[in-house]
Amino acid sequence: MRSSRFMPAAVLGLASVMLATTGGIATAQSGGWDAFEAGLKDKYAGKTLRLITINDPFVPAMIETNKLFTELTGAEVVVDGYGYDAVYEKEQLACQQQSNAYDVIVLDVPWTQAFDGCTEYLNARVEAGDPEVIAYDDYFKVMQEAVEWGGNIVGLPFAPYFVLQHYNTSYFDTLGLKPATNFAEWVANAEAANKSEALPDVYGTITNNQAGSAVGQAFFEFIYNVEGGKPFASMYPGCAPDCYADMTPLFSSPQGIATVELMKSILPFQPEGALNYAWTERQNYFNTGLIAFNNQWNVTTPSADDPEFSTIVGNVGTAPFPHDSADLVTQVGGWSMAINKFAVDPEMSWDYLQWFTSPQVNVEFAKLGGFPARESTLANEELNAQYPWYTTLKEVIPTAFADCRPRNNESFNIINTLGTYISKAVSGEMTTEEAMKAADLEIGTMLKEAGYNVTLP
Amino acid sequence: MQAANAQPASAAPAPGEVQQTLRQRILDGDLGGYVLIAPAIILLALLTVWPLIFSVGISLTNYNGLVKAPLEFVGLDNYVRAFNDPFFIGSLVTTAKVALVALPLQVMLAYVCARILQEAQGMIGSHLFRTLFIIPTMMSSLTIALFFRYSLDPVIGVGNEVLRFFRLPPLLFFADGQQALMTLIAVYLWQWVPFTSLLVLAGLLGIPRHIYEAADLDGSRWYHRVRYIDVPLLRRVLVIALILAIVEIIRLFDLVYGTTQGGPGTATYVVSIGIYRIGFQDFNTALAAATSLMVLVLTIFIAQVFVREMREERR
Repeated sequence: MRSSRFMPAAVLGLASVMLATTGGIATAQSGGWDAFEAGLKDKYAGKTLRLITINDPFVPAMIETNKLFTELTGAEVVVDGYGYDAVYEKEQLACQQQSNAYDVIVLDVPWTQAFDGCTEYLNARVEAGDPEVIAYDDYFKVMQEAVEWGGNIVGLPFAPYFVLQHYNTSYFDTLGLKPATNFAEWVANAEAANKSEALPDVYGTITNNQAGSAVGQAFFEFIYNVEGGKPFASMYPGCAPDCYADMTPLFSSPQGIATVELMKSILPFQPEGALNYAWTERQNYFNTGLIAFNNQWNVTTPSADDPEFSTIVGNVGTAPFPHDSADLVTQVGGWSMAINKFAVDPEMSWDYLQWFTSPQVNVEFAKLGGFPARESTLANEELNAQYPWYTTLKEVIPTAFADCRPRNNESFNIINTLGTYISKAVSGEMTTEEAMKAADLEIGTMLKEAGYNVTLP
Repeated sequence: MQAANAQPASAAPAPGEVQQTLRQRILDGDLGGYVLIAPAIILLALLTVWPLIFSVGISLTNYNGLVKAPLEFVGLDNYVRAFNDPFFIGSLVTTAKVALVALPLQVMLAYVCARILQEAQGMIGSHLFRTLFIIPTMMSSLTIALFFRYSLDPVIGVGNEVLRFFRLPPLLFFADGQQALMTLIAVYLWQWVPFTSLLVLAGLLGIPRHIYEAADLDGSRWYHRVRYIDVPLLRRVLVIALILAIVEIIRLFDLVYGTTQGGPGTATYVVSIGIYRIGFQDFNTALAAATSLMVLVLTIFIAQVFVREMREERR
């Protein structure tokens, strides 16, 4: 399904990365960057670029960064932000209606194939562009894989997320706990925090338990890390070039069952309402000191250390996700920017994409509260001082797997259906075995009908 | 209309007269009514009839918003698939459960509230009370959902605090497969009972006082008045209230989306949530059209039962 990866201007890109990681970014890229910036000077005065995005915590930083683009080019950037489901639906409908309402659309990793054909392929532009500005190989390798489908570059990454263990250092010190490295420790930590007399109002943790996409996505965080499990027969780290060759579901495999049982086993150490909790509630509980630890996207990390949103400032530690498998597999998500195929002014959109995702602006974006998408940004000393959790990011990014959640057209359907069956198992509506077998059959049938190679049970 | 009818049918109008007659017919009312409602009819056709026809057409194809495959006619495949979809059938059953529990409660509570409002008429502050009483119905369903989602959170919500105050055991509300549906119905009733109450109140105010006075003279008790006066004379109002309630229950989406997303498990997986997922997350547009049309037919069928009841009553 996916073909070989695209590697433009590898030599120049690699050189820029090497120079960037040694702190020489300004001088190494100044020629190309200066010329690029000079070319943008007042180029789009009086024009408006419309961008649709998820309403995530990076949006204020994006708006601030966009002001620099306005200063430079004269173009106003209008940002429309929506919730996760809403932005997917709105972007899909816009694509199907061939709407030019937005010039730039922002895409999550699992949406890649779903938007294949809705966006302009960027291969030719990347190839023709200034390698010092684009520095394609400077993007995290996993994100280079994530934004491609069938050899086509669908978008450019700007705010990737990785799942990290977040823990309350004060509570862990009080209880003498260390961040879990495997799931036995993970459950034990939750139990210790939950039952501790020293912390009577504190619960262990909260996992994504809400029916549908929340608990469905949680499954994909765990499955690869539970005894070497995998969700589909040919979906595992290193499966490229075709992770979709055999889409026989393995949800009822011993590892699949063990994953759901693991999710059930930690439920007693969560707050009473946890069966209906998803990302927002989990973060609120963590930020207000009601739980000891939380496995979350790093998009939430800054808020936990921000007095405006948190009461545990100064007590936030991060660690990689625990794993029982030989190798850790970290879930990757987050956002890339793409040019709407029906955009009014694709040239302005491309200039914006190049500018916003460039090594220089990615650093500015990160300083303002955004997220690193590049190796050079992650190596930036100033940012490392500002965000100590970059240390954990450096550890987990090489373990991230682009197809951790399926990136095909059927991704939403798979995650929702699986999430509904897991919720049935976790809530006691069905046994785990019954639920996972039903998920195998239903998702397998759907994928077979969609033309995938599937062996049905 | 009279002017047009007054003309002898056999009289052949002169060429000049035809236009004048047409203008007259429009101005005098024969065709005028049609001309006046034509914009509304055209608008209605564009906004409802055309999408309906389009939906029927789409439901007979393989159209999927995500898969850019050639459009093919697949006959009734999508309808067969919907019948074989355990989630869709399950969502119909869950919606039926909501209706079976909520409808009688809605009518009974609305009647009680309407009676209270009727008795309170003329008292100081009764107008303000009536205004406050209708506020839940006027609020956005999604706002209500989020309000109750957090108010009824078992740990941080005010719901269990209230129960503890009355020395009652705490509940899990939306976080339990057994309690979630009942909690959802309670929230639905909180939102819609006021509206139904106003309908019933309007009906009650239309019942002549002398009927009650006569019943009092005959020594009737309160339940006699309910059984032999209110229920028969409110029947038409109640049928309208029930039709509106059924439509509202079938459309129930925001409350579920904002509170449970259909869970835990499939405890609150109502039909609107199912269609939403098929249509706007999986973008299986043809299947979503087929399921929507099936629900539409079901709604019309149920509404017709009540409408027939109302017609019988009118006779």
